[in-house]
Amino acid sequence: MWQALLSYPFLQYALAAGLLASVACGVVGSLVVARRITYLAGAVAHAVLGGMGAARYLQVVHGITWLTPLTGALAAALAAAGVMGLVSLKARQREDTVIGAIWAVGMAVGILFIAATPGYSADLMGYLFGNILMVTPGNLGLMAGLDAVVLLLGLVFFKQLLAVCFDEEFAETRGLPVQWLYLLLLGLTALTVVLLVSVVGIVLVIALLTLPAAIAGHLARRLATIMVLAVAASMLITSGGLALSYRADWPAGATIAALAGAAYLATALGARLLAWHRRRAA
Amino acid sequence: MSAPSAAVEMAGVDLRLGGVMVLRQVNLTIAQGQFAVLVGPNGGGKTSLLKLMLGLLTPSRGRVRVLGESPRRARRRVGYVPQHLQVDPSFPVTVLDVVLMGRLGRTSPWGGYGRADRQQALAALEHMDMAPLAGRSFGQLSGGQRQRVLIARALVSQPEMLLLDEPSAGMDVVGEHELFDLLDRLHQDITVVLVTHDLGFVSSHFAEAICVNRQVVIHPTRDLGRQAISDLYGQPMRMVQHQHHLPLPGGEHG
Repeated sequence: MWQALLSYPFLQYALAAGLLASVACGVVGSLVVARRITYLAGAVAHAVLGGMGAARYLQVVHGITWLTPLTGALAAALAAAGVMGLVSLKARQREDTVIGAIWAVGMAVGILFIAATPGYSADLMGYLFGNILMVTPGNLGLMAGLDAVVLLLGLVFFKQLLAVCFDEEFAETRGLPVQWLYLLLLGLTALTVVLLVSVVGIVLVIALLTLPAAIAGHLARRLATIMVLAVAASMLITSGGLALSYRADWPAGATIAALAGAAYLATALGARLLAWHRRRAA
Repeated sequence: MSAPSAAVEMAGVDLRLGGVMVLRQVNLTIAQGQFAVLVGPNGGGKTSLLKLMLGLLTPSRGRVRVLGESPRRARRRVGYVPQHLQVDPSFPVTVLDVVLMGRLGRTSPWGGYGRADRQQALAALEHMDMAPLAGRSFGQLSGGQRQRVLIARALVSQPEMLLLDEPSAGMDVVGEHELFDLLDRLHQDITVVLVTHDLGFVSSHFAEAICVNRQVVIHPTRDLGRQAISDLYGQPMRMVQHQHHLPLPGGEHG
């Protein structure tokens, strides 16, 4: 395994992609889980297919080479987050409907573009379920950039984001620009979704966004601690999943997502057992 | 300009929410240093009245002034204690984390809280007899303890006026009594506005109550059937007499 890692650059890139994605995933995933906007993140993730499909179409058919699927994903994720933000600020009672609409329509647009793109329908599986083994050094550069943006904004505005997620109304009475902070949270979620799509694919993004944070939630009781633990959990899960998939020749994205699920189940059971044990001892 | 003595001034205020008239023709003055209590049935508009004072809601008509300013401008000088039942108990914060949120707007907008913020937060917890629980998860506390933490969070911004929404919800009679004593002590220094639907709580301590049910009317409380209620609650109480009606200076209630 170690030998393979040393001799195959594509494995090194894959490992680096997993580690880079884990940083944003732990920080933003903890906020998403605490604020309970997992479904909103799911809609953003699925809307990404529209952006990837459109970008690939323009690349292949119209020869716009700089418009990579990852760039398209970024644009679509930010647009979807912007729409979700406006809807929850202006018409909260419609939020649920709009989540469903963005989710399905984003995918539909993606499929239509992929169908219209000559000879590249094989991309679909990669977009949906991840192609971490196809990560290029260029992708890694963009991922590192996204990570830096997410980390910087997350750290600088940590206490404001915490206050808005915990009690938006009180935060407003303290003079915080709560609507902008909510849009910031959605924007960070969009950037993180794009990072994760490269690792596990659109369908499995939710697993990595929520499960490491949920695992950390069993181990700590402060958001900052949960973020650090979630980053660590995500790094272990992506690296472990990658190793497992290489050994067993399983699809990497699905292996990582399944491993995250197993780790969550184990932690949840462990926490239950521990609580039960403490009650009996008391 | 409004007189400096008024903590809250409302003139001809209507509030419509989603096409429904929640408050109509509200004229109300709360003097600085007053301990005002808002009572009325659930859905009568008490919380909405509080949110108008905080600038969280904007009146459809009329004028609201708080501490001589618009409510949004006055916000930083006002402490708000929302109903603790609205808070998600599984949210990952400690008691100290919650109280620190009261420093927002007074501390640096960048990065974390400073040492001074932490000291003030601990002092506010100390004031509420909650300092030993500073590291505890907020969600693990009892209802009364959560309420104390939320009051500490409001006090840590050193407000000139404190607005509390149903602080005695989920408390027993002893907890209520302690809470009142505490508010009474705070009221020595700042204006306190309390929303409650608990008439027992009101009648034992206040000479008059601001009754909110779409309209706002001030009623005196009076020693009627004192013995009977005292037997019921185990402490001296007063009844609120709704048929008595004192017109406000400049007010025009029907």
